[in-house]
Amino acid sequence: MTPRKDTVGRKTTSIPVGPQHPALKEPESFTFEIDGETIVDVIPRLGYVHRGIEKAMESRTYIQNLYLAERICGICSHSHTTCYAQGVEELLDVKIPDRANFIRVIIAELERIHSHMLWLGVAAHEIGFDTLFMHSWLDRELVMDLLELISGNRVNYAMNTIGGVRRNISDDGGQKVKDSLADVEERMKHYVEVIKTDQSIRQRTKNIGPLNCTPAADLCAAGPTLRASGIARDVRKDDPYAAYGEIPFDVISYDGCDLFSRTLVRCEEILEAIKITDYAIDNLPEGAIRVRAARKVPEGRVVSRLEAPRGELIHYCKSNGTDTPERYKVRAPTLANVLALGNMLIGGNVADIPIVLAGIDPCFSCMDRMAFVDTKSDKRWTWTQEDLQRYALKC
Amino acid sequence: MLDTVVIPLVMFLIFPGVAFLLAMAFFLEWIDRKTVARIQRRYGPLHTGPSGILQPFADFLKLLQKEDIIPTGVDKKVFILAPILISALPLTALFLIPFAGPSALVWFEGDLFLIMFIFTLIVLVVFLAGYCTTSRFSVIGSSRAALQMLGYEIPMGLAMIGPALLAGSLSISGIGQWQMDNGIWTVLLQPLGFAILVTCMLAELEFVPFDIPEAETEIVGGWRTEYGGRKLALLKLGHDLELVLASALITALYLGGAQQIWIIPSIFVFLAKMLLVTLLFSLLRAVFARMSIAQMLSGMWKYMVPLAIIQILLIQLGIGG
Amino acid sequence: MVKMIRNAISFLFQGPATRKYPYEKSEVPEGFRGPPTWDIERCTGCGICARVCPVDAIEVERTDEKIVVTYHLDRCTFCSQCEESCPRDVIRMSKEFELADFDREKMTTEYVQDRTD
Repeated sequence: MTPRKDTVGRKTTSIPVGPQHPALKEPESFTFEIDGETIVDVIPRLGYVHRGIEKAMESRTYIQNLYLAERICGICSHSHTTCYAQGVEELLDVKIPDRANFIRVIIAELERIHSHMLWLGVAAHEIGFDTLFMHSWLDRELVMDLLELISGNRVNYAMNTIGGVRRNISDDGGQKVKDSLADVEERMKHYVEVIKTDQSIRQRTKNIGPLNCTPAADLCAAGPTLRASGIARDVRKDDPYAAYGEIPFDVISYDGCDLFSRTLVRCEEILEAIKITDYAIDNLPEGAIRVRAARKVPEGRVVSRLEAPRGELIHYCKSNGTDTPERYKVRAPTLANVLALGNMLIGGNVADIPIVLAGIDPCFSCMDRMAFVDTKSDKRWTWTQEDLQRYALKC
Repeated sequence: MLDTVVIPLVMFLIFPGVAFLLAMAFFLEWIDRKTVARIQRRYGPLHTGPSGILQPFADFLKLLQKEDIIPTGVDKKVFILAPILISALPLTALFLIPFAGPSALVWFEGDLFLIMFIFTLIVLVVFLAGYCTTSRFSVIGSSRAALQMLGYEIPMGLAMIGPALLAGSLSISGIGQWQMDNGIWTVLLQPLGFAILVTCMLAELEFVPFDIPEAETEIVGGWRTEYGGRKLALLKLGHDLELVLASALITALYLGGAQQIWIIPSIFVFLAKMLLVTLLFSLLRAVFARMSIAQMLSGMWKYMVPLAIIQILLIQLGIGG
Repeated sequence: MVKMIRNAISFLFQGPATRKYPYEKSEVPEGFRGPPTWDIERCTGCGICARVCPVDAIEVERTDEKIVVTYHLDRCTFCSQCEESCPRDVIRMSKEFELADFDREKMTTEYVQDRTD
């Protein structure tokens, strides 16, 4: 234990959370300065799962990159390929068939359902509620099975291709999806009830990890984290892509600005996603599922964005007329949300660290393509000279 | 010779002494793990012995043969002594519980106080066990354990005094005897005290919602972080024995103790009741989220202490007494 | 809390939902993407599969005597792009899913077509 003095001169203890820590499902380091049980400072260090994907994409063809983009994230794999394919299709000036757009929406919403259920389980585990964790993951299996049924794989669906989707959804398959989702809906309603009424969950989430409306917008928080701070911002509604323009749905937002709201936003988004999926299956247009696309992409630049389960996902692609991109850049939602963590954590309790960290639904392997991009914008997040030197020496 | 040496020796070492209590410890851990697993729709222990009944024992043996590490910078004496004390203290307390028949192996007027003292002592040793190491997780865990004790110790003591006031005896065997003589279970007269004791025992056992000192997602292993091998085996055994102690104590104080029902021998009745209490613990620890230490302390002082005092007042007023 | 307890008790008697995996295996659905297999007699050795493979898991070698397709399971990501790109539908994704091994050598499969006749 190294007693350190914080800015006001109090002696503090530093607790490392990560790179290896039970509260984190992926390696990332946060050093907490604590005074008794109160957090006075938090120093993040990003970049532990940097895998050089962007660089690797520059040396592969557009078709091969589909599968690399899919592996940026293990949970929102479909979001990354959709975003990638959308961008490349725009460069190629290809319009994909309506049916393909609807199938993309169905997979995207199924992915949102299982991603949010996964989050519910992780969050429950962080507050020590292992039964809820097991139960929600049990129900998540229903959705995973559906995805396996449609795409042939539980995690990396590989449904998208440039110019459409690769597999069709049969009427029979659509019916199975609807039947299973009816069960999921019933269970989800039960969970919403439990979360709203259970005293022990309320105690651990109400007014914990506060992130008010203004700082949330200033720090560019995204997705459910932002929507739980009362700002109903959703790419699906604001800038409709795929078939979202043709499907009626509501953007869920709560203005509690705390973990409780973040939980409710995610749970009700699942219910909304079930409605979207049902609608998309009922109104699935007939026709082809893909069009042919050229192998070589004309010179150009494109920014493509969509609403991943964790928030707004942005891909940037610069092409140069060959069959490989010249530059590729991914901004995952976690990078947008990690800035807000400082606001949520400082002044809070040690006991709340895991659940607040989990509250933004962090996906560090998504995020870690460039280390600490914007961290200097907020003073509390600046690295010390010492840290920078240490980092410089290590690299 | 037989009467003075052999029989007492057998009683102390085998039944209802050390061997029996250890077997009970492993058995109750199995019951607890299996119940929680079933509530979470898992199998739980499965392969070691029929339905995995030997799993806790196998875990114990495995830990025994692991490398024994003493990290640098720890206070060696405390570090070595703490696991021994943590497993020995509940075992000592268990000799005071009347498992079979009206009186325990050891009993005297006032042994209820000894039990309370041992409960406090266990937490003190836990505190030292964590505090003697250099790991910050251990230090935070142990200070949480001590803080938590400040919360539940008083309501727990008051809830144990309830049956004593009723029976007019400060001995656990005496309280059991009184319930047998009057043919009534204390829980029916003092349900409030029973609820308080169960809650406090959850805290003493560091079960959810009171597993704050070893909250895995916050402070890794809590006060146990630095322990491994033989020492961890003893710590886990100590915890199992504490589970036996908690369920046996609740049975003896509130659920009528070891009475004979029809032709079923009293020991089996006692074990069945203990099993029920363990099931209650398992059920409760499966349906809560962990509290934070501040919530736990304020909850205990705001609700549990006043309720415990009200229970004592009710007894004094002759209601349920 | 009451809801959770009621749910917990009902689950207590429903039995486990998990499978005793190595003893009870699950059925994979139709269209599952396992490792690809080659119907090598119909292969023309065009090498498109090797070219599109994002992870270089396939090597195709064509001589006058034979066509050799070498498939590296340890590199494969089961994306099934090879199946999709094959002009003669030679490649099919199998339903295997227990693929781990201690020996990397065993991860390579060779398909050989004899062209001498």
